Amino acid sequence: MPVNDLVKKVSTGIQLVAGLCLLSVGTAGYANTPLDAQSIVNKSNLVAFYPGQDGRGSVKMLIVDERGKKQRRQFSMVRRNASEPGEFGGEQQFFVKFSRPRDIKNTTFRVEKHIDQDDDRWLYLPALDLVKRISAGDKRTSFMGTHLFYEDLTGRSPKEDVHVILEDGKSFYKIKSTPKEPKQVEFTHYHVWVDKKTFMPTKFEYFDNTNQVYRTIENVKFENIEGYVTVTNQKVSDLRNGGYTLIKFQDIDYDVGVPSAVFSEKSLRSPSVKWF
Amino acid sequence: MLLKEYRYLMAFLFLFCCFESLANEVDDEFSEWDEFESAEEQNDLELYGFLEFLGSRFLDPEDRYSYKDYGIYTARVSGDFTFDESLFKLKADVSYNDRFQETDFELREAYYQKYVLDNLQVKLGRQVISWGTGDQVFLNDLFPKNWRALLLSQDIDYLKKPINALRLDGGFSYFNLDLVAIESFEPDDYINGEYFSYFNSEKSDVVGENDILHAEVNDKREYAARIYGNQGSVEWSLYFHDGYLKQPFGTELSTSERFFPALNSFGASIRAPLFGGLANIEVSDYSVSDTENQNKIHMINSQLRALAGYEFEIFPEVNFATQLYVEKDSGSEVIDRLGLDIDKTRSQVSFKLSFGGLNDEYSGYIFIQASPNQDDAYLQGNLQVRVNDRLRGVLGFNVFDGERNNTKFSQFDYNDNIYLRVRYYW
Repeated sequence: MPVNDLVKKVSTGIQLVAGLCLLSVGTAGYANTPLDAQSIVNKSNLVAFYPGQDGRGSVKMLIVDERGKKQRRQFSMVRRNASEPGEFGGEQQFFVKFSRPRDIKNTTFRVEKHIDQDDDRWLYLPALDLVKRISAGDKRTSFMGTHLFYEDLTGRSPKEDVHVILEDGKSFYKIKSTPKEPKQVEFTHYHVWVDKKTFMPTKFEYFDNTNQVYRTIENVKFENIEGYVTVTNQKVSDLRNGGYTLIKFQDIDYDVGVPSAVFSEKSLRSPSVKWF
Repeated sequence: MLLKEYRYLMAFLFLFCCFESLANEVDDEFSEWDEFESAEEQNDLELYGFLEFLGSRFLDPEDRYSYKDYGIYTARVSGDFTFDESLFKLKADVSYNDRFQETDFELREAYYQKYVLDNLQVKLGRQVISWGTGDQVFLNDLFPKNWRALLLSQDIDYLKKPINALRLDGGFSYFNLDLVAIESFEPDDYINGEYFSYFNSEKSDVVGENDILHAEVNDKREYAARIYGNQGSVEWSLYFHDGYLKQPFGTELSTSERFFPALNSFGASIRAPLFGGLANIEVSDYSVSDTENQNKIHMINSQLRALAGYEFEIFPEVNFATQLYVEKDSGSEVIDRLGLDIDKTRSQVSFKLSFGGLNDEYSGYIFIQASPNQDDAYLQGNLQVRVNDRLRGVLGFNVFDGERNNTKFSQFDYNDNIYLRVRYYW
């Protein structure tokens, strides 16, 4: 099995390095350690999606379509690590409650993120009292009419692509990531820029089969929140038609002690007023 | 004349335009990133809602049923009042129907909700409750449905009818328990001739406005329960319902009065990812009481119902879903003894092709449900345009067809319609 071979190849000899990475989060001198592409992506994934044991925040999105028409989305989001993250990350739970626009107010969305299998996603439509499950095939489709995909919100597993360093710059790594299962995704490969100091990804460029960049995600602004580097402004662009979505993450708090009950089906139907 | 007929629509459009121009003006005042700051913050009390116009035209109207095209104008007010970690929710509609020149008020939701413990929630009041895995087929979901709203082409939300109930939802280590007590029985809003024709078994014919189906509605309490949980990615549920059938399938022979037969049901369902899509299976066992009573006729008997479904993405943003559904009479000796002309089984297949997601600019679907053994079909579809965050338009159709006039879908053959809905959220 080529996939297994790749996984073995990638994980051989990396575990120790990854272990060291985990210990040295945020410490100086880390950038000097020679790293291979997989380790950089693993580390970057942990920095971007696993700060703290849990976290909460509010998200505002402005969607600008190709004709300049604007729409908004606004929701609160909580996240919890369901298992101790390993080198490729760990099991995570996400919960989203929408407040704007009015037609989706009180709609909720829940994700059980897995490491060795497809994530589980559910959407709850309050007017119908209906829990709709979203199939894994939909992971790279629009999240609520924005330019963001479901998968962008919760993170793509570093195991799903083969990573190669294209450029070892002064302040960044540029990495080419090629999917192991090309049929599951709409891109042929993507480039990601990873900041050497923080290991935060700063930009993603997705390529189509004519080798053109057709989609980008830019992490525009970062803040240090409770000791964790955090993206606060993000821009997702569709270069084919010029549309884009601006995303602002606000009121972020880490290690707030969100209980696992907040991530249940019961919660989808009626989210706890305390947390949302 | 034309102006008179559409005066309400004109007034509505005028209102839409006013709101729209206001909304756009506000948009231009902000630069892009700063625009976020203009979004309202969460308050303890939030009021919102919509204005809607729905117009529908019959495709092959028959005068003998006195059909007329109609327009329904609806204004909704919703209020969420949060206090002390609990929620009070209110949702009410005022609507005007120009077919009957009637104004209606409907309280759709008025409930109090609170987590009394971390893992136990109470919801008390008027609410919509629903469960199960089917799409427009309900096996274990025996909460009332508004089938008239479906044929009227109102938003699919209206298919689920609210009830006055107490709901307790508790979470334990390996399972969750959902208990519902319904204050008093509420039937479906079934097709009774008022707007749409239906097959009347007493007349052995399709009838309309002159033969409205009345039934004796009892005010007994109903109970429903569900135990559910997840085993990895597999969702499972067990269901129980103690109440009444929601359609008047019984006739009291002495009075010729229709009634809603008592019903007990048990069932189960699972839903799980399979081959990149989602599969679901659901079964239920209906025990209809009193079917042996010689003074009553039941047009439905104890039944076994089973459903299997699968959905997957065929292209990006395009989904395909199929369902196979079977109803099988499990007490047919009663039917045989009374010599009733009732089908003992019904099989139904459905295919649904849909595109676009919630909040996409364009979305739509085509959904066909057909019965191979009763030779009838129901085709529905719509195209939805989300003009912006506030304005939405939907164009759609409902078409029924069948060989005989007394089966589930073919009895509605004269009700084929096209419709337009315009909704403005405030």
